[in-house]
Amino acid sequence: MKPQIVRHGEAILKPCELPKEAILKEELDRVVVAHSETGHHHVLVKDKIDLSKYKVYTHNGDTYVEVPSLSKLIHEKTGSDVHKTHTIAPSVYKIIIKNEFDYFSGAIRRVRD
Amino acid sequence: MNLTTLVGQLGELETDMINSITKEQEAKIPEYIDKWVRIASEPLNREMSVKMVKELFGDVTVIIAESIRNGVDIVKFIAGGRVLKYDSKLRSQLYSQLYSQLYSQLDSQLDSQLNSQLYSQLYSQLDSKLYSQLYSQLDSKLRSQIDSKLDSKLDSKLRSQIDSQLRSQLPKEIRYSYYTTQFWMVWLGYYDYAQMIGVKFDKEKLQKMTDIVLSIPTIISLGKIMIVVENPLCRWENENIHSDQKPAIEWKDGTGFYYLDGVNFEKELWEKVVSHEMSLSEIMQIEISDQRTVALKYNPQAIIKENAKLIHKDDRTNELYLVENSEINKITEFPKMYFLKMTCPTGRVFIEGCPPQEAEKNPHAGKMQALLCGLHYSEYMEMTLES
Repeated sequence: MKPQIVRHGEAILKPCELPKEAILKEELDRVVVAHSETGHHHVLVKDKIDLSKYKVYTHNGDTYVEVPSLSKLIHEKTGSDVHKTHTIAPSVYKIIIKNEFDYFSGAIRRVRD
Repeated sequence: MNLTTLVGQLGELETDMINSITKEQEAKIPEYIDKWVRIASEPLNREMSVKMVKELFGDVTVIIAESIRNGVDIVKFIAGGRVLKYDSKLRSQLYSQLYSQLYSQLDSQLDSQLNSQLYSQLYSQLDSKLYSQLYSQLDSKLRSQIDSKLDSKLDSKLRSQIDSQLRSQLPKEIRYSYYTTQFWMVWLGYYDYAQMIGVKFDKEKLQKMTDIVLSIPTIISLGKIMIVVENPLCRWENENIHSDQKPAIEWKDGTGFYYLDGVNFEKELWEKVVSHEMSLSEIMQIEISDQRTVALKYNPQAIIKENAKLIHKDDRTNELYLVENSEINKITEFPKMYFLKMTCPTGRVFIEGCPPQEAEKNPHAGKMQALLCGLHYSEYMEMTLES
């Protein structure tokens, strides 16, 4: 399966090269790609249990995640209005959180859910 | 207990592996989910709660709180102005009791009798709203309320019951912790279902775990004082915590939390949303997009009232609207306001503001969506995994 751009609610994963100066922040068994104010996080989990870890990097204010093995991007919620689970191929991805323009403050801000 | 004893005990319980379930058995899954969701709202057997807490924690004072708010008020009254500091020790203690002594052994019995694929398939179906909604919401609410600067309000009867001598013996800095066990109800529901399809468990351990989880749904510890919180009544609709009439999570003392379609609202905003009279201006001032989406669902008239004009619509359910010469333009002082409306595959409608200069240059719904997603238009159009 080839890595491809994935959109999951306000979270977007875009396959890319890891910048050379990127700093490794943490290694995790699961990664919350986008936090939700209502507790319904968007989470990367491995498809099968293995010993590999997700590596989270930062560079110039951007966040990258190295996905070591086939994974799933899930929405931690039940009910009828749950974002569909996507399969994520191993690769480095830039995590992008969608923006919107707030006319009341006159500024761009990240979408929060 | 050492490993040899544990393996020996498991050996005595070994049965044939279950590789699949029948259609009739599969049809019963919703019944088991509903059963345990109902149990999560049943009033406590208070005598049992006191008994179980003393069994687990020894010589402690046990108080039953009518709600989370009441529990927090009790904490603050007992603290009487002393510093409250979160301590994870209790959490680890209760978790350790449930996990290492009960859950891990029950789970290995389950694991050894169910084909691994069936094990995970059943879990994903039975891992219901109890975990993702009720547990996660109560857990976060409890922490935020204890941390808030609420004044304590207790009725005189309860105040007199909480002995002043007990309070005076407390140190200057009081360590507190809390734990909610609704997560473990998911596993009890799973074990309940598994028994129905033929899995054999150590009955004594299963009963012990059931007794603990049902008697102690939520507990706050102040060291030698333990506060057990009553179960709330929960209202559900379409698998979500929801009510447009009352708090969706409500205790008998009238306190509770408000939810619409599984999304939490403060009371004031909830009242506005369900009034069906919100304006677009009010909706767009909501910062949390899930709340905004629900507000829009309950107030579809908001866009029409502002005379929003559809500028462009693409094949991916994106619609770009322009609002001008309207009340919202006067309030924001932007003569032209562009909004992107999108219907996601779940059926929910999202609405987001677009940078006016960019929208003026490119009055194209798909290009605006790509811009907000931080993608080139070509990347956005190539994207097939979107939800």
